Amino acid sequence: MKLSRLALSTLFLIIIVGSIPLFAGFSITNRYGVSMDVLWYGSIPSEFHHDPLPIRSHLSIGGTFTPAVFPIGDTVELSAGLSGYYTTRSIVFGTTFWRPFMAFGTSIDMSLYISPSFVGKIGTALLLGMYLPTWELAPIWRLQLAGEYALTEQSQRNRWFVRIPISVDIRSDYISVFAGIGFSCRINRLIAKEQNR
Amino acid sequence: MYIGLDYHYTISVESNDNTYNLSNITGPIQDIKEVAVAIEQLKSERYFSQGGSSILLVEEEDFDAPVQLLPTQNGIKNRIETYYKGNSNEITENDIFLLYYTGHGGSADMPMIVASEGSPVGEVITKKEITDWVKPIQGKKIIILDSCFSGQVVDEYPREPDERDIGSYVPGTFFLSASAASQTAKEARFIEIDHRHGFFSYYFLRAIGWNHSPEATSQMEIGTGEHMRDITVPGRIDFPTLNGGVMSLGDIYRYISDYFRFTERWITYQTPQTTLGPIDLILFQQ
Repeated sequence: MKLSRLALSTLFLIIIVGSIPLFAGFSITNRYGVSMDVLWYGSIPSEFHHDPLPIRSHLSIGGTFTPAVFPIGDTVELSAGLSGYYTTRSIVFGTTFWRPFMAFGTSIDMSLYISPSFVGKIGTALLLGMYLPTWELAPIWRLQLAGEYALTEQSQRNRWFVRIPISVDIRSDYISVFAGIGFSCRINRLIAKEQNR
Repeated sequence: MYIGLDYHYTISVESNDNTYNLSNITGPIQDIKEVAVAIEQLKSERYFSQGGSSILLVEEEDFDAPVQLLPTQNGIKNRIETYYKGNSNEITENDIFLLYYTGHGGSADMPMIVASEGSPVGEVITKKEITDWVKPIQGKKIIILDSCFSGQVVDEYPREPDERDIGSYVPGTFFLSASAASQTAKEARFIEIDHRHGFFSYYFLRAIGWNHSPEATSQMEIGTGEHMRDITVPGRIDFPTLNGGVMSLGDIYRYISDYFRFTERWITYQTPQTTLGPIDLILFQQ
Protein backbone atom coordinates (compact mmCIF):
# COMPACT_ATOMS: atom_id res chain seq x y z
CA MET A 1 0.00 0.00 0.00
CA LYS A 2 2.77 2.42 0.93
CA LEU A 3 4.74 1.58 -2.24
CA SER A 4 1.71 1.96 -4.52
CA ARG A 5 0.89 5.25 -2.84
CA LEU A 6 4.41 6.51 -3.49
CA ALA A 7 4.35 5.33 -7.10
CA LEU A 8 0.98 6.96 -7.76
CA SER A 9 1.95 10.25 -6.17
CA THR A 10 5.17 10.34 -8.20
CA LEU A 11 3.28 9.63 -11.43
CA PHE A 12 0.69 12.32 -10.69
CA LEU A 13 3.36 14.85 -9.84
CA ILE A 14 5.23 14.17 -13.06
CA ILE A 15 2.06 14.60 -15.12
CA ILE A 16 1.00 17.81 -13.40
CA VAL A 17 4.42 19.44 -13.28
CA GLY A 18 5.31 18.16 -16.73
CA SER A 19 2.19 19.67 -18.25
CA ILE A 20 2.88 23.20 -17.00
CA PRO A 21 5.28 24.11 -19.85
CA LEU A 22 2.71 22.84 -22.34
CA PHE A 23 0.04 25.35 -21.59
CA ALA A 24 2.55 28.05 -20.77
CA GLY A 25 3.97 27.76 -24.30
CA PHE A 26 2.18 26.79 -27.47
CA SER A 27 -0.90 24.76 -27.83
CA ILE A 28 -0.78 21.06 -27.32
CA THR A 29 -3.66 21.78 -24.96
CA ASN A 30 -6.07 24.51 -25.96
CA ARG A 31 -8.60 24.14 -23.20
CA TYR A 32 -8.83 24.20 -19.46
CA GLY A 33 -11.64 23.51 -17.06
CA VAL A 34 -13.07 23.99 -13.62
CA SER A 35 -15.66 21.98 -11.77
CA MET A 36 -17.43 22.31 -8.44
CA ASP A 37 -19.41 19.65 -6.61
CA VAL A 38 -21.67 19.40 -3.57
CA LEU A 39 -21.76 15.87 -2.25
CA TRP A 40 -23.20 13.59 0.36
CA TYR A 41 -20.16 11.87 1.84
CA GLY A 42 -20.51 8.57 3.66
CA SER A 43 -17.66 7.19 5.77
CA ILE A 44 -17.87 3.44 6.34
CA PRO A 45 -16.21 2.50 9.65
CA SER A 46 -13.89 -0.49 9.75
CA GLU A 47 -14.46 -3.32 12.17
CA PHE A 48 -11.73 -2.16 14.55
CA HIS A 49 -13.48 1.20 15.05
CA HIS A 50 -16.37 -0.58 16.86
CA ASP A 51 -18.65 2.16 15.58
CA PRO A 52 -22.36 1.67 16.30
CA LEU A 53 -23.32 3.02 12.86
CA PRO A 54 -22.64 1.27 9.55
CA ILE A 55 -22.03 4.61 7.84
CA ARG A 56 -21.36 8.19 8.95
CA SER A 57 -22.89 10.99 6.89
CA HIS A 58 -21.05 14.19 6.04
CA LEU A 59 -21.48 16.98 3.52
CA SER A 60 -18.62 17.67 1.16
CA ILE A 61 -17.92 20.58 -1.14
CA GLY A 62 -15.03 21.17 -3.47
CA GLY A 63 -13.77 21.18 -6.98
CA THR A 64 -11.04 20.64 -9.49
CA PHE A 65 -9.05 23.01 -11.63
CA THR A 66 -7.84 21.32 -14.79
CA PRO A 67 -5.06 23.30 -16.47
CA ALA A 68 -3.95 20.52 -18.77
CA VAL A 69 -6.22 18.81 -21.31
CA PHE A 70 -4.80 16.38 -23.86
CA PRO A 71 -7.14 15.43 -26.75
CA ILE A 72 -6.84 11.85 -28.00
CA GLY A 73 -8.76 11.74 -31.28
CA ASP A 74 -12.15 13.43 -31.56
CA THR A 75 -14.03 11.78 -28.73
CA VAL A 76 -11.54 11.14 -25.96
CA GLU A 77 -9.46 13.48 -23.89
CA LEU A 78 -7.16 13.08 -20.95
CA SER A 79 -6.92 15.82 -18.36
CA ALA A 80 -4.84 16.46 -15.27
CA GLY A 81 -5.76 18.84 -12.50
CA LEU A 82 -5.62 19.99 -8.93
CA SER A 83 -8.46 19.09 -6.57
CA GLY A 84 -9.51 20.48 -3.21
CA TYR A 85 -12.41 19.43 -1.00
CA TYR A 86 -13.77 20.34 2.43
CA THR A 87 -15.83 17.70 4.22
CA THR A 88 -17.84 18.68 7.26
CA ARG A 89 -17.95 16.66 10.45
CA SER A 90 -20.44 13.83 10.35
CA ILE A 91 -23.90 14.00 11.86
CA VAL A 92 -23.65 13.51 15.63
CA PHE A 93 -24.68 10.11 16.90
CA GLY A 94 -24.67 9.54 20.65
CA THR A 95 -21.47 10.99 22.05
CA THR A 96 -19.36 10.78 18.91
CA PHE A 97 -18.99 12.13 15.41
CA TRP A 98 -16.37 11.75 12.67
CA ARG A 99 -13.99 14.64 12.29
CA PRO A 100 -14.15 17.21 9.49
CA PHE A 101 -11.26 17.25 7.07
CA MET A 102 -9.83 19.00 4.05
CA ALA A 103 -8.18 17.23 1.16
CA PHE A 104 -5.93 18.54 -1.59
CA GLY A 105 -4.13 16.76 -4.36
CA THR A 106 -3.76 15.91 -7.99
CA SER A 107 -6.22 14.19 -10.27
CA ILE A 108 -6.30 12.56 -13.68
CA ASP A 109 -9.51 12.12 -15.70
CA MET A 110 -10.40 10.52 -18.98
CA SER A 111 -13.45 11.99 -20.77
CA LEU A 112 -15.42 10.15 -23.38
CA TYR A 113 -17.72 12.28 -25.58
CA ILE A 114 -20.59 9.84 -25.98
CA SER A 115 -22.77 12.37 -27.83
CA PRO A 116 -22.50 16.11 -28.47
CA SER A 117 -24.31 16.73 -25.19
CA PHE A 118 -23.19 13.91 -22.94
CA VAL A 119 -19.76 13.12 -21.55
CA GLY A 120 -18.76 10.14 -19.46
CA LYS A 121 -15.76 10.56 -17.16
CA ILE A 122 -13.58 8.18 -15.26
CA GLY A 123 -10.86 9.48 -13.02
CA THR A 124 -8.60 9.00 -10.09
CA ALA A 125 -6.96 11.35 -7.62
CA LEU A 126 -4.33 11.17 -4.97
CA LEU A 127 -5.18 13.51 -2.12
CA LEU A 128 -3.64 14.44 1.15
CA GLY A 129 -6.39 14.71 3.76
CA MET A 130 -6.06 16.63 6.98
CA TYR A 131 -8.42 16.22 9.95
CA LEU A 132 -9.03 19.80 11.00
CA PRO A 133 -9.12 19.52 14.82
CA THR A 134 -5.91 17.52 15.04
CA TRP A 135 -4.06 18.55 11.87
CA GLU A 136 -3.43 14.87 11.31
CA LEU A 137 -2.50 14.00 7.74
CA ALA A 138 -3.91 10.99 5.96
CA PRO A 139 -3.41 10.01 2.30
CA ILE A 140 -6.52 9.29 0.25
CA TRP A 141 -6.81 7.48 -3.04
CA ARG A 142 -9.96 8.57 -4.87
CA LEU A 143 -11.71 6.78 -7.72
CA GLN A 144 -14.43 8.70 -9.54
CA LEU A 145 -17.08 8.17 -12.18
CA ALA A 146 -19.12 11.08 -13.49
CA GLY A 147 -21.72 11.79 -16.10
CA GLU A 148 -21.86 15.31 -17.53
CA TYR A 149 -24.65 16.86 -19.58
CA ALA A 150 -24.03 20.00 -21.61
CA LEU A 151 -26.10 23.05 -20.74
CA THR A 152 -24.69 25.27 -23.49
CA GLU A 153 -23.86 24.86 -27.16
CA GLN A 154 -20.62 23.37 -28.36
CA SER A 155 -19.73 26.46 -30.36
CA GLN A 156 -19.51 28.75 -27.38
CA ARG A 157 -16.16 29.54 -25.81
CA ASN A 158 -17.31 28.68 -22.28
CA ARG A 159 -19.20 25.46 -22.21
CA TRP A 160 -21.20 24.59 -19.08
CA PHE A 161 -22.14 21.13 -17.93
CA VAL A 162 -24.20 19.78 -15.08
CA ARG A 163 -22.52 16.73 -13.60
CA ILE A 164 -23.29 13.84 -11.31
CA PRO A 165 -20.15 12.39 -9.74
CA ILE A 166 -20.00 9.10 -7.84
CA SER A 167 -16.76 8.37 -6.00
CA VAL A 168 -14.94 6.15 -3.58
CA ASP A 169 -12.21 7.30 -1.21
CA ILE A 170 -9.81 4.59 -0.13
CA ARG A 171 -7.76 5.08 3.02
CA SER A 172 -5.66 2.51 4.81
CA ASP A 173 -8.09 2.52 7.76
CA TYR A 174 -11.52 2.92 6.13
CA ILE A 175 -13.43 3.52 2.91
CA SER A 176 -15.86 6.30 1.99
CA VAL A 177 -18.44 6.54 -0.77
CA PHE A 178 -20.01 9.74 -1.97
CA ALA A 179 -22.24 11.16 -4.64
CA GLY A 180 -23.77 14.49 -5.47
CA ILE A 181 -24.30 17.13 -8.09
CA GLY A 182 -22.04 19.74 -9.56
CA PHE A 183 -21.25 22.00 -12.44
CA SER A 184 -18.25 22.14 -14.68
CA CYS A 185 -17.07 24.64 -17.22
CA ARG A 186 -14.66 24.07 -20.07
CA ILE A 187 -12.99 27.18 -21.35
CA ASN A 188 -11.33 27.25 -24.75
CA ARG A 189 -8.23 29.37 -24.98
CA LEU A 190 -8.19 32.20 -27.51
CA ILE A 191 -5.66 31.05 -30.06
CA ALA A 192 -4.84 33.34 -32.94
CA LYS A 193 -4.88 31.44 -36.22
CA GLU A 194 -2.13 32.08 -38.74
CA GLN A 195 -3.32 33.23 -42.16
CA ASN A 196 -1.55 33.76 -45.46
CA ARG A 197 -1.64 37.29 -46.72
CA MET B 1 -13.37 11.56 38.53
CA TYR B 2 -10.96 14.37 39.33
CA ILE B 3 -7.62 13.66 40.95
CA GLY B 4 -5.33 16.46 42.07
CA LEU B 5 -2.28 16.03 44.21
CA ASP B 6 -0.15 18.57 45.96
CA TYR B 7 3.53 17.81 46.35
CA HIS B 8 4.72 20.20 48.96
CA TYR B 9 7.85 18.27 49.62
CA THR B 10 10.21 16.37 47.40
CA ILE B 11 9.21 12.78 46.89
CA SER B 12 11.23 9.92 45.53
CA VAL B 13 10.02 7.19 43.20
CA GLU B 14 11.74 3.89 42.73
CA SER B 15 11.38 2.35 39.30
CA ASN B 16 13.57 -0.09 37.37
CA ASP B 17 16.33 0.08 39.97
CA ASN B 18 16.47 3.83 39.64
CA THR B 19 15.31 6.41 42.11
CA TYR B 20 13.76 9.62 40.86
CA ASN B 21 13.42 12.67 43.05
CA LEU B 22 10.48 14.84 42.14
CA SER B 23 10.30 18.45 43.14
CA ASN B 24 7.49 20.12 45.03
CA ILE B 25 4.72 21.62 42.90
CA THR B 26 1.67 23.41 44.17
CA GLY B 27 -0.46 24.03 41.08
CA PRO B 28 -2.35 20.71 40.82
CA ILE B 29 -4.77 21.38 43.67
CA GLN B 30 -5.93 24.65 42.13
CA ASP B 31 -6.06 22.97 38.72
CA ILE B 32 -8.29 20.15 39.82
CA LYS B 33 -10.63 22.23 41.94
CA GLU B 34 -11.32 24.62 39.13
CA VAL B 35 -11.60 21.87 36.52
CA ALA B 36 -14.05 20.03 38.77
CA VAL B 37 -16.20 23.09 39.38
CA ALA B 38 -16.08 24.15 35.74
CA ILE B 39 -17.17 20.75 34.49
CA GLU B 40 -19.83 20.41 37.18
CA GLN B 41 -21.15 23.81 36.13
CA LEU B 42 -21.26 22.80 32.50
CA LYS B 43 -23.10 19.60 33.41
CA SER B 44 -25.76 21.53 35.27
CA GLU B 45 -29.15 22.57 33.93
CA ARG B 46 -27.86 26.09 33.59
CA TYR B 47 -25.72 25.07 30.65
CA PHE B 48 -25.88 21.60 29.10
CA SER B 49 -28.19 19.60 31.41
CA GLN B 50 -25.99 16.56 31.47
CA GLY B 51 -26.28 14.57 34.65
CA GLY B 52 -23.96 12.12 36.27
CA SER B 53 -22.08 11.69 39.49
CA SER B 54 -18.59 12.90 40.19
CA ILE B 55 -15.88 12.32 42.69
CA LEU B 56 -13.09 14.68 43.59
CA LEU B 57 -9.95 13.20 45.07
CA VAL B 58 -7.72 15.88 46.48
CA GLU B 59 -4.77 15.76 48.77
CA GLU B 60 -3.43 18.95 50.16
CA GLU B 61 -1.57 20.36 53.08
CA ASP B 62 -4.35 22.23 54.82
CA PHE B 63 -6.23 19.55 56.75
CA ASP B 64 -8.70 22.04 58.18
CA ALA B 65 -10.08 22.91 54.80
CA PRO B 66 -13.62 21.68 54.14
CA VAL B 67 -12.32 19.35 51.47
CA GLN B 68 -12.42 15.69 52.24
CA LEU B 69 -8.89 14.47 52.05
CA LEU B 70 -7.97 11.07 50.90
CA PRO B 71 -7.46 8.64 53.72
CA THR B 72 -3.74 8.46 53.44
CA GLN B 73 -3.53 5.27 55.39
CA ASN B 74 -5.20 3.45 52.50
CA GLY B 75 -3.01 4.98 49.85
CA ILE B 76 -4.21 7.01 46.94
CA LYS B 77 -3.60 4.30 44.39
CA ASN B 78 -5.82 1.86 46.27
CA ARG B 79 -8.51 4.48 46.55
CA ILE B 80 -8.52 5.17 42.83
CA GLU B 81 -8.54 1.47 41.96
CA THR B 82 -11.34 0.81 44.42
CA TYR B 83 -13.36 3.61 42.90
CA TYR B 84 -12.88 2.24 39.40
CA LYS B 85 -13.92 -1.25 40.37
CA GLY B 86 -16.80 -0.14 42.55
CA ASN B 87 -18.36 2.22 40.01
CA SER B 88 -17.68 0.60 36.67
CA ASN B 89 -21.09 -1.15 36.66
CA GLU B 90 -22.99 2.10 37.15
CA ILE B 91 -21.71 3.63 33.95
CA THR B 92 -23.88 2.76 30.94
CA GLU B 93 -23.11 2.71 27.23
CA ASN B 94 -24.53 6.20 26.79
CA ASP B 95 -22.34 7.73 29.50
CA ILE B 96 -18.92 9.28 29.36
CA PHE B 97 -16.41 8.40 32.05
CA LEU B 98 -13.92 11.20 32.60
CA LEU B 99 -10.68 10.98 34.54
CA TYR B 100 -8.74 14.21 34.97
CA TYR B 101 -5.43 13.91 36.78
CA THR B 102 -3.07 16.72 37.70
CA GLY B 103 0.20 15.94 39.40
CA HIS B 104 3.60 14.45 38.80
CA GLY B 105 4.40 12.05 36.01
CA GLY B 106 7.63 10.39 35.05
CA SER B 107 9.20 8.89 31.97
CA ALA B 108 9.53 5.12 31.58
CA ASP B 109 5.88 4.19 32.13
CA MET B 110 5.12 6.44 35.09
CA PRO B 111 2.25 8.58 33.78
CA MET B 112 0.75 9.07 37.24
CA ILE B 113 2.84 9.31 40.38
CA VAL B 114 0.78 9.51 43.51
CA ALA B 115 2.20 10.24 46.91
CA SER B 116 0.85 9.69 50.36
CA GLU B 117 0.88 12.54 52.78
CA GLY B 118 3.94 12.43 54.96
CA SER B 119 5.59 9.71 52.96
CA PRO B 120 8.76 10.43 51.03
CA VAL B 121 8.06 7.57 48.61
CA GLY B 122 5.67 7.89 45.68
CA GLU B 123 3.66 5.16 44.03
CA VAL B 124 3.41 4.74 40.28
CA ILE B 125 0.23 4.07 38.32
CA THR B 126 1.32 2.62 34.99
CA LYS B 127 -0.35 3.00 31.62
CA LYS B 128 -1.44 -0.63 31.73
CA GLU B 129 -3.09 -0.11 35.10
CA ILE B 130 -4.95 2.95 33.85
CA THR B 131 -6.23 1.18 30.75
CA ASP B 132 -7.00 -2.08 32.57
CA TRP B 133 -9.04 -0.21 35.14
CA VAL B 134 -11.16 1.60 32.55
CA LYS B 135 -11.56 -1.39 30.22
CA PRO B 136 -14.61 -2.89 32.01
CA ILE B 137 -16.36 0.49 32.06
CA GLN B 138 -19.16 0.72 29.51
CA GLY B 139 -19.60 3.83 27.41
CA LYS B 140 -16.94 6.20 26.22
CA LYS B 141 -13.91 6.93 28.35
CA ILE B 142 -11.76 10.03 28.34
CA ILE B 143 -8.51 10.23 30.27
CA ILE B 144 -6.92 13.65 30.65
CA LEU B 145 -3.51 13.94 32.26
CA ASP B 146 -1.77 17.17 33.15
CA SER B 147 1.56 15.70 34.14
CA CYS B 148 5.09 15.37 32.81
CA PHE B 149 5.60 12.76 30.07
CA SER B 150 1.84 12.23 29.95
CA GLY B 151 1.89 11.64 26.18
CA GLN B 152 3.03 8.09 26.88
CA VAL B 153 -0.57 7.10 27.62
CA VAL B 154 -1.93 8.24 24.26
CA ASP B 155 -2.53 5.22 22.05
CA GLU B 156 -1.21 5.15 18.52
CA TYR B 157 -4.09 5.16 16.06
CA PRO B 158 -3.66 1.97 13.98
CA ARG B 159 -3.78 3.47 10.52
CA GLU B 160 -2.15 0.47 8.83
CA PRO B 161 -3.62 -3.06 9.09
CA ASP B 162 -0.48 -4.55 10.64
CA GLU B 163 -0.66 -2.00 13.47
CA ARG B 164 -4.07 -3.34 14.49
CA ASP B 165 -2.60 -6.70 15.49
CA ILE B 166 -0.70 -5.09 18.35
CA GLY B 167 -4.00 -4.39 20.07
CA SER B 168 -2.95 -1.31 22.01
CA TYR B 169 -5.73 0.79 20.49
CA VAL B 170 -8.89 0.58 22.59
CA PRO B 171 -11.96 1.84 20.68
CA GLY B 172 -14.06 4.19 22.74
CA THR B 173 -11.18 5.31 24.95
CA PHE B 174 -9.89 8.80 24.27
CA PHE B 175 -6.82 10.52 25.68
CA LEU B 176 -5.72 14.10 26.08
CA SER B 177 -2.30 14.78 27.54
CA ALA B 178 -0.48 17.93 28.55
CA SER B 179 2.76 16.97 26.85
CA ALA B 180 4.37 14.45 24.55
CA ALA B 181 5.93 11.27 25.92
CA SER B 182 9.38 12.86 26.06
CA GLN B 183 8.39 16.28 27.38
CA THR B 184 7.81 17.73 30.79
CA ALA B 185 4.66 19.71 31.58
CA LYS B 186 5.05 23.17 33.07
CA GLU B 187 3.17 25.19 35.65
CA ALA B 188 3.39 28.85 36.61
CA ARG B 189 1.69 31.61 38.51
CA PHE B 190 -0.50 33.48 36.06
CA ILE B 191 -0.45 37.18 36.86
CA GLU B 192 -3.83 37.95 35.31
CA ILE B 193 -5.63 35.53 37.63
CA ASP B 194 -3.20 35.70 40.54
CA HIS B 195 -2.80 31.99 41.16
CA ARG B 196 -0.90 28.99 39.92
CA HIS B 197 -1.94 26.50 37.28
CA GLY B 198 -0.41 23.97 35.00
CA PHE B 199 -0.24 25.60 31.57
CA PHE B 200 -2.32 22.76 30.16
CA SER B 201 -5.04 23.04 32.79
CA TYR B 202 -5.06 26.81 32.47
CA TYR B 203 -5.81 26.63 28.76
CA PHE B 204 -8.14 23.65 29.21
CA LEU B 205 -10.20 25.78 31.59
CA ARG B 206 -10.26 28.59 29.06
CA ALA B 207 -11.26 26.15 26.32
CA ILE B 208 -14.36 25.06 28.23
CA GLY B 209 -15.34 28.61 29.08
CA TRP B 210 -13.87 29.13 32.54
CA ASN B 211 -12.98 32.79 32.55
CA HIS B 212 -11.80 33.17 36.17
CA SER B 213 -13.92 36.27 36.63
CA PRO B 214 -15.55 36.34 40.08
CA GLU B 215 -19.11 37.05 39.07
CA ALA B 216 -20.37 34.63 41.67
CA THR B 217 -19.07 32.35 44.33
CA SER B 218 -20.28 28.92 45.13
CA GLN B 219 -19.69 26.08 47.46
CA MET B 220 -20.32 23.04 45.35
CA GLU B 221 -20.96 19.53 46.42
CA ILE B 222 -19.18 17.06 44.27
CA GLY B 223 -19.42 13.33 44.48
CA THR B 224 -19.78 11.62 47.80
CA GLY B 225 -20.01 14.58 50.08
CA GLU B 226 -16.82 16.34 49.22
CA HIS B 227 -17.20 20.09 49.24
CA MET B 228 -15.38 22.75 47.42
CA ARG B 229 -14.29 25.77 49.30
CA ASP B 230 -15.67 29.07 48.14
CA ILE B 231 -14.46 29.39 44.65
CA THR B 232 -15.27 31.69 41.81
CA VAL B 233 -17.90 30.42 39.43
CA PRO B 234 -18.44 32.31 36.23
CA GLY B 235 -21.86 33.67 35.49
CA ARG B 236 -22.69 33.91 31.85
CA ILE B 237 -19.67 32.52 30.10
CA ASP B 238 -18.61 32.04 26.57
CA PHE B 239 -17.56 28.69 25.28
CA PRO B 240 -14.78 29.17 22.79
CA THR B 241 -14.83 25.52 21.77
CA LEU B 242 -18.60 25.21 21.39
CA ASN B 243 -18.92 24.49 17.71
CA GLY B 244 -22.29 23.77 16.13
CA GLY B 245 -23.87 22.96 19.48
CA VAL B 246 -21.21 20.52 20.65
CA MET B 247 -17.99 20.80 22.60
CA SER B 248 -15.66 18.10 21.35
CA LEU B 249 -12.36 16.69 22.46
CA GLY B 250 -10.77 17.55 19.12
CA ASP B 251 -11.77 21.20 19.33
CA ILE B 252 -10.49 21.47 22.91
CA TYR B 253 -7.21 19.89 21.83
CA ARG B 254 -6.98 22.32 18.91
CA TYR B 255 -7.68 25.30 21.20
CA ILE B 256 -4.97 24.33 23.70
CA SER B 257 -2.46 23.43 21.01
CA ASP B 258 -2.97 26.74 19.23
CA TYR B 259 -2.36 28.69 22.44
CA PHE B 260 0.77 26.68 23.15
CA ARG B 261 2.01 27.17 19.62
CA PHE B 262 1.03 30.77 18.90
CA THR B 263 0.76 32.46 22.30
CA GLU B 264 3.38 30.63 24.34
CA ARG B 265 5.39 29.98 21.15
CA TRP B 266 6.12 26.43 22.19
CA ILE B 267 6.75 24.53 18.99
CA THR B 268 8.57 21.58 20.51
CA TYR B 269 8.78 22.57 24.18
CA GLN B 270 5.42 21.20 25.36
CA THR B 271 3.00 19.80 22.82
CA PRO B 272 -0.31 18.28 23.96
CA GLN B 273 -1.33 14.96 22.47
CA THR B 274 -4.69 13.41 21.77
CA THR B 275 -6.18 10.30 20.22
CA LEU B 276 -5.87 10.54 16.45
CA GLY B 277 -8.05 9.03 13.75
CA PRO B 278 -11.44 10.06 12.39
CA ILE B 279 -13.57 9.61 15.53
CA ASP B 280 -14.14 12.50 17.92
CA LEU B 281 -15.79 12.53 21.34
CA ILE B 282 -18.44 15.02 22.42
CA LEU B 283 -18.01 16.24 25.97
CA PHE B 284 -21.01 18.56 26.03
CA GLN B 285 -23.94 18.90 23.70
CA GLN B 286 -26.74 21.46 23.55
